[in-house]
Amino acid sequence: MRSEAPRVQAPITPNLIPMIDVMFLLMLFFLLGADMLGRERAELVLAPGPNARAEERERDGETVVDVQHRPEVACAAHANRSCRLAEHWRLVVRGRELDADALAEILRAGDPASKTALVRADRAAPYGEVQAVLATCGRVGLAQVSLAAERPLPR
Amino acid sequence: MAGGGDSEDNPVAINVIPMVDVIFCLCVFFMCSFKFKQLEGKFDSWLPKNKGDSGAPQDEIKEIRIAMFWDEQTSKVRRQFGMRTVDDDAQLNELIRGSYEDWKAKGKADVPVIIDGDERIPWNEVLKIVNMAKGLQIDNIEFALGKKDA
Repeated sequence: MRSEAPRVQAPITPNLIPMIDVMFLLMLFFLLGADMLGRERAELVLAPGPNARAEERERDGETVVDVQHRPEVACAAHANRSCRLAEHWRLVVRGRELDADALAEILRAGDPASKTALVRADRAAPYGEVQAVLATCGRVGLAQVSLAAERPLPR
Repeated sequence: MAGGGDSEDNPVAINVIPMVDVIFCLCVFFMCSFKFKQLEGKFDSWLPKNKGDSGAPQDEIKEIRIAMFWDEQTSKVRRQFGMRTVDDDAQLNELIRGSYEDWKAKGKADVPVIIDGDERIPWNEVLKIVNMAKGLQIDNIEFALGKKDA
C-alpha cells in the first residue's frame, strides 16, 4: 500500500509588494515637497509676526529686499543672534548683493509711485540695516513698503 | 488533477530587491533634503511724504511714540513710552491701546505709531512693536529714521 508523501509546506517569503507601494508613496511625498529650484529670496530666519496677513503671491512691481547675514562669515555672535557688525550684513535683491545706491537704482526704474518693496530682514539684523533700506525707499519716492514676518502655523 | 504550481507558471521571476534598494536610497536622499519652510506674512506700512526732520514740534504732537534704546552693557533693549520705561510686552500693549483709544475719542483715529529705535537694536524687537500695533488695528505705523541716512 502506497502511503502518501507528507506534504511539505512551502517556505514563507515576505510579500514585498505592499512595502514597495508604501515606499513609492513616501518617495512621491518627499519629491513633491522637495525644493530643488534656486530661490530668489535669501534664506533667513524672519521675526515672528502672529498678526501679519497672509502673503499672497508677489505683486507686480514688488521688489523683495533681503537683509541677510553673510553666509560665508562664520560669526559666533550671529549664532547667538547678537551680531551688530555692519560689515557682516548685506542687502540682497534677486540673489544679488547690492549697496544702497544700487538698490535705489533698481527701485527708481519705472514709476516708483506704483512700485512697492517687501523688506525681509533676519530677526537678528540690526535695525540700522533696515532703516537704511527704508530710507532708500523713501528717497526714491516709494509709497508702500511691506515688512515680512513669520506667521504661526494654522491650527 | 494537480493544481497549478506558481513557480512553474512564472519562469521569469523579477528580482525586486535591487529596486527596493534604489527606492530606499532615493527616500533617504529626499528625506535629508526636505526642509519645512516657514510661513511668511507681511505687515504693510506706508512711507510718509513731506515729512522729515521738521525742526520745531507742533503744539499738540499727534503721535504715539515708542522709543527703543540699546543698552551696550546689558546687551538689551530698553523701551520707553513717553517718559516711562516699559519692559513687559503686555504692559506696552496696554499703554499703546489706551493711548490709541484716547486719540480715537478725540476723533483722530489716524494717529501714527512712531517707532524710534537705535540702529543697534535687533529687528525682532521692532517687529514686535509693529505686530502689537497691527493687533490693535492701528494701520498707520511710521519709522523714525536716524540721523545717519543711507
